[in-house]
Amino acid sequence: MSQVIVSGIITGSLYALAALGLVLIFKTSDVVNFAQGEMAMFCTFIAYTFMTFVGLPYYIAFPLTIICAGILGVIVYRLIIKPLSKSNVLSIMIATLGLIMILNGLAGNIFGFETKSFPKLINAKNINILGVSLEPNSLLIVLITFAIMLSLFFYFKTMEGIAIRAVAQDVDAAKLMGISVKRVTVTTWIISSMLAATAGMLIAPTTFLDINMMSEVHLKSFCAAVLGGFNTFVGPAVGGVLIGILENLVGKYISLAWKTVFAFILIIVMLVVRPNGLCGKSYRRKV
Amino acid sequence: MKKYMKQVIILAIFILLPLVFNFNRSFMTLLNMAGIYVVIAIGFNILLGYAGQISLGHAAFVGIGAYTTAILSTKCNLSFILIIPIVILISGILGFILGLPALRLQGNYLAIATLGFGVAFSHIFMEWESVTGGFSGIKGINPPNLFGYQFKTRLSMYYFILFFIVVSIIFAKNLIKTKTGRALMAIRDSEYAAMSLGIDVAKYKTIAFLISAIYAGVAGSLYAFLFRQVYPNTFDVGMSLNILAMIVIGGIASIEGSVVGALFITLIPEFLKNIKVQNASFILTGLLLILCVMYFPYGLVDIYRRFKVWLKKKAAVKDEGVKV
Repeated sequence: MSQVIVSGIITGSLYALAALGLVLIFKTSDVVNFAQGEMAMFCTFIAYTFMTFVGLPYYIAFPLTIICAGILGVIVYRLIIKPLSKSNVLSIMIATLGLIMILNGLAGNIFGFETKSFPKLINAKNINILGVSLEPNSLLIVLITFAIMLSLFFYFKTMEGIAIRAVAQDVDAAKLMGISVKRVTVTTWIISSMLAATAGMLIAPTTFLDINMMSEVHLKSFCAAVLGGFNTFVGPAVGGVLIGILENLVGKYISLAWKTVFAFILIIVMLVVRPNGLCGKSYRRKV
Repeated sequence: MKKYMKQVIILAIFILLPLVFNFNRSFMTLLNMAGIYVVIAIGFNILLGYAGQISLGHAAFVGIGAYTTAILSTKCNLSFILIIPIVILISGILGFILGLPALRLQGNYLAIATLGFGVAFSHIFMEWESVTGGFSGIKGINPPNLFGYQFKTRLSMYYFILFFIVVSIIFAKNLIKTKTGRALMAIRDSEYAAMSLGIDVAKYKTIAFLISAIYAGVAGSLYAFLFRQVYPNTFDVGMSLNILAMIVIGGIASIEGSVVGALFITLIPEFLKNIKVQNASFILTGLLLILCVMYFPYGLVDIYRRFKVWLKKKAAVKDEGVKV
């Protein structure tokens, strides 16, 4: 039982990590970036290229990829999101769906369609804590997720972070306060792209690296964000861990085959009953 | 009669097309596939184009139609005349159910909910082995049989599908002109304005989901009859994205647009076959999606419309020039 819960927390923190970038963009610009998973996959391939073809060690390839991810975020914002900033929600959503196809197709052609294996952060023997066997790598993933969440939490206390939150609440009021909305939005795209890259590189060892590596996790990250609340930063963490645990419990005690169906039915019910999620506040809709 | 001349000519062209050109079997299959997508796209356009409600899980309805047909045909040996009404009933009920969350959700949230619906169903098709046959799918579906004539060849299926396309177009064209069609468009333009005009928003949203689900279900049934076997991984999120791409690229809120888009997206891989880049059609579709959203919000049909307006303007300028 406790083993199941612990492994649930580990997969859950992966979902949370993938969901954080999603929520960040949604909160600041009201855009659901459906291509978040593909961006993660693309960046992971960049890291892989750095390591195999350039021959860099992991600890150099990792930060280099994060920088590339930032550039990718700027490109996506400049070419797709900014020209569409005046159009409605549906148009931007459709554009990010188009981006899925482009990134997925390009990745296959540039990096190849075959499955590759991606190195783990650390390779060490499993450790035993209170009868629960733990892989140090997974433990590190959980720690990284929480570290990122904590640093985001403190980032939002800084001047820059407050500007982001102001834009999230009211674009016009933020403009009147002298905040450059454009700069804030670019920053959020850079951060969320970096988050995606981090998530991708941490997830790749468990799923193997190919062009569809993120499809499952990406969809689950939606579940996590919806369950926890799409307009909070704590939400995805709570939602991710909850989904991870529930899914593992269903898989263990009810049926392994039906655990994915269970997760999606859960979010549909959640959206109908409480669209703002467990941690979300409800906002009055503007007419 | 003169009013419908254009439509009759286009229909005649499509009837004669395979007879004149004598396409090979694989191209006929592709044309039939395109025809099936036309039916789905018309239904989806009623939902997205006219009612303004998005769905990223429409492949689920196609799958439900296909599996219902497969099961009724192989296990109960029913004729297609009975199967199609049952498919309409089942996909209608499920469309109604999916319509329920739509009553409370908008835009982004609705997209996620319908995406969840689509993914859940694609997993159900895979995992519910006792009914759907799991990964090995269902084989041996009987071809449609009308008064002893079996629609077995690709050519006969072409006309079988063409019949359904004509019915769907006539139904959709008429629906738009009714009170329901106007109510849907009012909801799309502003839900609150529609509400204040006394339009029952909940009712009409549900109707939009129901109708588009029925279109997709019937198309699924045609799919099962065409290939006479169904597999679960056909009806995945990729298919839902393709359906969306069809009407965005073809033309939102336009029946002609749905037809053009469906033909375009289905036939494009065939024309890009010789290009060295793999998945070229996939990349192109994505690129076109973004370009359409940015520059041609009303799709390919709109380019044609703009071109016509431009020609007229040019002609008008010419006339005036003569006068002066």
